[in-house]
Amino acid sequence: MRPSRAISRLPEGIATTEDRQDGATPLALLKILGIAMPRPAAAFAAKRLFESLGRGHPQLLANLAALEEREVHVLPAELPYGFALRTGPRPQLRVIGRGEGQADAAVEASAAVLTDLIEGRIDSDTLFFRRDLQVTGNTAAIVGLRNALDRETIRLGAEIAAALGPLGPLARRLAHSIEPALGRWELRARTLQRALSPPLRTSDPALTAEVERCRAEVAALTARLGRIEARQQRREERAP
Amino acid sequence: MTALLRAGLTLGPLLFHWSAARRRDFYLRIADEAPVDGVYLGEVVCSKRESTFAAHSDEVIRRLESAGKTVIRSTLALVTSAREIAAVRAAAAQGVLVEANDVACLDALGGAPHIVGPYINVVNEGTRDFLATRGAVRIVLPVELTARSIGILAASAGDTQIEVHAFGRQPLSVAMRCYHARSHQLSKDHCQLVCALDPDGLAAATLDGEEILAVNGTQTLTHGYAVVLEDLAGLQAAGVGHFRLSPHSIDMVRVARLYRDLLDLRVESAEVAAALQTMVGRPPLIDGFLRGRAGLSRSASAAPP
Amino acid sequence: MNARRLELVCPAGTPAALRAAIDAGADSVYCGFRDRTNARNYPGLNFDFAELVEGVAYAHARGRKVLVAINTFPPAGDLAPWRRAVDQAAEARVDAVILADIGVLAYATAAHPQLRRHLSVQASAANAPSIHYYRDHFDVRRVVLPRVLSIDELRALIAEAGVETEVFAFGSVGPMSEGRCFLSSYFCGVSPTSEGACAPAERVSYLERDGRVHSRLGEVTLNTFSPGEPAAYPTPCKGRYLTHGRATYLFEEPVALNALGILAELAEAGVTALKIEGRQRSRAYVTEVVGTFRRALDALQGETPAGAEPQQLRREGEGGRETLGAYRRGWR
Repeated sequence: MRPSRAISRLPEGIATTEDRQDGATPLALLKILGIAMPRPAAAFAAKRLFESLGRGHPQLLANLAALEEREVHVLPAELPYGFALRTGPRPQLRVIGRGEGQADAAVEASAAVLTDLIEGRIDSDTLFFRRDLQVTGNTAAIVGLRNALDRETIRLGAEIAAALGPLGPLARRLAHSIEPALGRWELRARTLQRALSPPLRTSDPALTAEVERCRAEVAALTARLGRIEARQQRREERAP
Repeated sequence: MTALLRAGLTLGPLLFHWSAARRRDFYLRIADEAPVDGVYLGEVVCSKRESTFAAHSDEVIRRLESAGKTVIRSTLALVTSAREIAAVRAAAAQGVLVEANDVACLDALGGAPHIVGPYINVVNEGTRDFLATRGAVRIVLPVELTARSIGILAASAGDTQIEVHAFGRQPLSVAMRCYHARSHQLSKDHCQLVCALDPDGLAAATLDGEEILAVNGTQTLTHGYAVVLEDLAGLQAAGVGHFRLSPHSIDMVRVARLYRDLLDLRVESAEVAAALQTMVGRPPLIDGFLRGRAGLSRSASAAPP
Repeated sequence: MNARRLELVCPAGTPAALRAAIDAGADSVYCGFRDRTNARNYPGLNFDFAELVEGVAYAHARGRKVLVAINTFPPAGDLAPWRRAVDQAAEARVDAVILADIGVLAYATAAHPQLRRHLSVQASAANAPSIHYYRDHFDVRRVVLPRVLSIDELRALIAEAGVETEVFAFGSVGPMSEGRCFLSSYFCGVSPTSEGACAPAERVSYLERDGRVHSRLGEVTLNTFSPGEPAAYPTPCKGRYLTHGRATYLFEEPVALNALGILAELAEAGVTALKIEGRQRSRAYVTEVVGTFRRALDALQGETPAGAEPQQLRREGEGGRETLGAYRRGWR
């Protein structure tokens, strides 16, 4: 029954009551960063996010700086690119393409799972025991990073919104409006991801077709995002 | 040249479950032929085996003592049941020299002179000195210690003698669970003493097929046979007074003679390594703990030429 | 009739986890310093002195306790860090220190007689004479019992112990006698007993081969998993080995101890305190496990109508499966 439970808990990760209360939807915001934003914009946003995190949580930066000098790649399974986090004396966050750069260690999981992890809503060992988290390379680097993050209370949604500055409220509204569709897509992507475990990766034509349909839907969602964005912007401009 | 105190060899307690007849023959030959100064007798691993030895123990003890060997009574490493506690108390009350392998035995001894076995963690001067003031005349150090740690503990031990494991599979853990029984899909309570099937322990391999551990009832040992060869002289100079040879099914008299010759500088350590490796067969000679590395590793000095 | 009140002792790997444990209903929290002096010496984990002082203030303001684990064995010639840890714990006014090494116990007894001493599970005191030894020589007030005893043995031992007892109620269970297991250092060269890390992350690696994930400690393969197969911690005692040509979990399956279903029995056996394992876990685990046990204990004491269902915590534990471990005799 494991897979079904793993899937059924996703919507709660996508939008928890807590998120609703402070008006931030971290996962949807991440998706916007990841799917809708062109890479340079995402890279810029990631830089802003990290700087803003450092201002809000100076102890987090100190804790990251206290770790060994390592580069950990955090790879949300559904996003076309990932994040490279440097620990050690000069902590840093960069956006990277898949398979780009030299990582000491890498963590791969769905964006929902990663968001829950960063926000301290779920335990990484639990995920590991369930195999919902793939870990490669230097495990100590990941353990150190996890523990440093766990020392702080981070609301990723609020952090992203804060980092985006004046664009923050707009992004939040965007996230709310696109979230249900993202949730549906997420569930399907998740199912596929499980089906596409290594031995099956290239064999099944039906699965390949399903992947194609998913890709089409992502494209449609991205387009829809653009339209929503334009509409929101017009509303902002009309507002006094 | 400074005159060194001549270090002694001891035969540690038999860890494996041999038949009563085999034990008797083994110890009688040790008594007559092995150049060891002390012999530890008694069950350390599992109280269910204890009755096996009792049949011939008086005869064995007499023979060992008349051969000039000190007999030391070893006790259980993990004590839980009322019967086990009673057995440890009885051993402590016998008036013979006892090797305590669980703190229960220290309590039972109440300060009487005794030997602290390798299953009680004595890894620093603080613990060593506390135990010495409470009757410990000799401390057998845990197998995990490095040559450096052994040197520090031996150099400042004063009147307390220090003994280290110098030959044989090293005990790595004790447990309540019997892994021997588990490997035969039996429970500990109905184990049928299957541990008797493996006179040197049951090989456990990794999924790659690499033999790595030896299972001995509730105890787990190294697959390789630990040796102290090149370091023997240095450790002796640092003040280690006794080197322990742990009984195996190979010719332990010959093992004892090789070590005695090495201590007396009558043979090179490389020759001893080669001879031991031939006797041991497939398992490697190892010395990782001594070098502060993974315990399963072997340095050049443990590798036969 | 209400059961005797059991003290709930909870893990805190970080200050955030300490607050989470107290907020979730812990009576006591145990933690360690950021070094080798405790048995959870993992990167990014544990407390410095200032954090400990803050943690003690947070706990004491809410009527809770802080216990500090200084439960590794100092290597020869290197006692200073352990003595400093004991001194700092005393200075931070913690409620007790949890010690294992006889040398450290002797130091603490001499230097800080007023500082309450508990005996760590790492001392492996599994019988009444051992407990009496530590009580008589070091005035140990509480012993954390090894995870090797059945309920019946526990009841008999507690009747004789003459000190408070603390038993494990939830978390990862090692099947070996604690504090004297050298398997991890045999595989990878780092000693859990003196360096405080069993299967330290820097010696663990995962690699994918033939569609299976291989976990390795040092140069040794511990296990391989097919996709989706539940995993355990990469410790030697949770590895899979071949004996008689069969691959099995020779020592212990990937399971977690969960005593939620036998709290009444533990209370009846005379246990003083229940310990939740997991200082290496995140505050999410702490919140969930501590909260669940708090509700169950409140229900047991008749303060609330119903307790938690034992299966509620299953997904938090190793391998996603549970055991009553040694508490049930069949475990052996």
